[in-house]
Amino acid sequence: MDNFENSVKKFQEIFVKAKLSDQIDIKNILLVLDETKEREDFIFNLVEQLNERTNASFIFLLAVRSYLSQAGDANIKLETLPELITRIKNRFSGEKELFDVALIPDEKETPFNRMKELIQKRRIDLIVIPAPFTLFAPEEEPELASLGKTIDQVITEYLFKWRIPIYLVLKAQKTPVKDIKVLIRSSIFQNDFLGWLIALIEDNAQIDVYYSKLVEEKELKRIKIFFNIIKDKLEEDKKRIKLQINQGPIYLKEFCSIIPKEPDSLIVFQAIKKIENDAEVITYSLCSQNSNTLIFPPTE
Amino acid sequence: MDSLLELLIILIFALTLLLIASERVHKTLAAMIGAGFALIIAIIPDSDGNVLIPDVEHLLELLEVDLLLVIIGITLVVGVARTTGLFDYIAIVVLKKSGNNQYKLLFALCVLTVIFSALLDAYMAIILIGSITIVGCEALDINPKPFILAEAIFADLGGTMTRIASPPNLIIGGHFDVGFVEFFILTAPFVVITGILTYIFWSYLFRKDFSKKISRRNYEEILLIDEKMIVSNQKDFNIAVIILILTIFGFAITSFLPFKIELGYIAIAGGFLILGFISEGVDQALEKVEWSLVFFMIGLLTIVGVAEKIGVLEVLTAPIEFLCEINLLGGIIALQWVNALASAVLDNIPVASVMTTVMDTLLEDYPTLQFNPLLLSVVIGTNLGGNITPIGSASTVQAVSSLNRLDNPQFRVTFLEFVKYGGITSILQLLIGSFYIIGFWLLSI
Repeated sequence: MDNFENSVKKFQEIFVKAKLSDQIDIKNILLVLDETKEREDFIFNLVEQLNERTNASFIFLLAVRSYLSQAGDANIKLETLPELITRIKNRFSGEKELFDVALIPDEKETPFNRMKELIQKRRIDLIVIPAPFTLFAPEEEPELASLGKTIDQVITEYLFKWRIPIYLVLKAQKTPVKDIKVLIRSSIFQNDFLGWLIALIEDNAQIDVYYSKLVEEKELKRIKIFFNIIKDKLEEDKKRIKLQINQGPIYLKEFCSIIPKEPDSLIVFQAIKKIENDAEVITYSLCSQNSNTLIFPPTE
Repeated sequence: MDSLLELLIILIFALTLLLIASERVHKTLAAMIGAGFALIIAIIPDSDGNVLIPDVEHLLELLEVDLLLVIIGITLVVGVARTTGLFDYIAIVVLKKSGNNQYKLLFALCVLTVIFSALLDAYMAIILIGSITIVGCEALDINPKPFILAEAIFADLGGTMTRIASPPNLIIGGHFDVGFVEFFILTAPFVVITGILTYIFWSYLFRKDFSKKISRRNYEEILLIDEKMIVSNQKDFNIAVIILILTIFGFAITSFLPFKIELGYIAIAGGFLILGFISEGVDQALEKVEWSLVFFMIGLLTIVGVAEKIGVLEVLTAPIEFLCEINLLGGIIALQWVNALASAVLDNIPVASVMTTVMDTLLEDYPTLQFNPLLLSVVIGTNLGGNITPIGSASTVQAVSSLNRLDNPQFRVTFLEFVKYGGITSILQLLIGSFYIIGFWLLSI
């Protein structure tokens, strides 16, 4: 390839990165189940919706077997793999054959390690996980700055190190989403945001964008253009949205405290290493908000 | 024996030029083979037992070390600075500032091409700006052809502007020891005037294409590009900016110093500094030096030097001298057009190399001949002649080949089509050049 071709290719890559695409490149979504029925129902609804709107394959992971004794203490009978398969088959009868089901092979392995094994074997583009993981295991109990052992590890390892987006299911909510709160803190943000919105939102959804004080005037112009194009493109797709762009805080903690606590809102933001590398900050903020959250990995 | 040597060197020179023009072998290889034979001739003793080039010191005199150091230094600074994303960054900013209107976009890209060409080199300018033009036009859904062709023409125009902008300028400027600022003062007004007129002409020529409105959405998507994405290491980026500015400032300041510092000294110092401060590995950085051009120059300067020593190049001066006998100014204007035509079909580097001898002879034979108009005639002719045909210069070759690689057949350009646009524009530019030279002559500047 000659010098000119190389240069063209380089610019093409930059243009493609910046271009808003209504397609999201999702191959596999990992759905971690903990047998908390309400949240599991939400996850199944989400699967149904994403199955309609994306070409993703779904991997169900029943990752709760290592907490068998804790479940026994709490008088909870854990599901077996055949039972889960039957339930999934009944729930998604007639759907595309897109489901794999995985189960922790023995009780010694933690949910985190089982996920790691899966992630090492296949490309995972989104992890959907109930947070906190299980409502009965003492190890997973949320504390002041923690959403429990597994979620803390997922954020530290998979979000920050492996750069996989995480959908934290804090509670059962309406899906598709009608209310999204977006926090933008950097000039580099998801360019496939449009694709995610198409996959997640309902018609007439309200999108509130909060840009941080760190965003410069020039970048703010870009953010406004970015969301206005998103609005136009969604309208072309016959999806109307109500868009509001407001100034917001720098830190997630402050953001969580200023946004109105809507019962069915989804918080969306991109983690930034420079500002808050600490998973604890994220989890603390989310604990206080109690909204489902889609977190994109940092790009810098 | 002497006439045999003359015949042999003429043969070597002609064959080398033919090989370069034919593109059958790499032009550097052609020059090096030619130089090899020329050196053999140079050690054959004449009837008095003397040899032309008795030792390496005499050989180095032919090679003009300052010129080679400028090429090595500049290509090192520019090549390493390029890896930091500096020039791509500038190109994206320009596209974002001007991409909402085709006339504005053409103006901005042409100005940027002239600047890049004047400070880097014409080929580098077309690589950088041509590539973003192809991608940008696709994103804006507009025809890239008028832009790319204009950039090729403006790249050669920008190549006229400074002493370091093109090999002919380096050869001629170096041979006659013209300062960086003096050269710029001589050529910059011409480039500005010609640039404005060429822009107006080009806007008229492609008015149908340019009148098409750019869609708001397409332009807004361009605005979404974050130029910072191109910068992978901010520290390297800043160092590149500083060293590039210091190097250019260094070139400029040599014209005002009470003592002499050659441009090669500044260029190589800039090259070494950038090598020392930027995190790129030495081996990778040294690959950025255009060694091929360096060896092409070595080969060519050797052949021309040997030919000059044998005395055959003076023959080429005869037709110009004939015209100068009739009218000195007419002779200079003729020299400009001869240079342009020669550069349209041959590589302009050998043309410029030969021209130094022609200019020496003319200056010696005609004491009333003004140097500045003579210099301008050669510089303008050799640099702008390359725009007449698509094979006349590296930038036109690159522009045409990049357009012809595009999927849309409407964007492609044939040889004749190029001559129609490029040829007419070149003639217009050369005419402006002639008037500019006449102006200098009449004002005795």
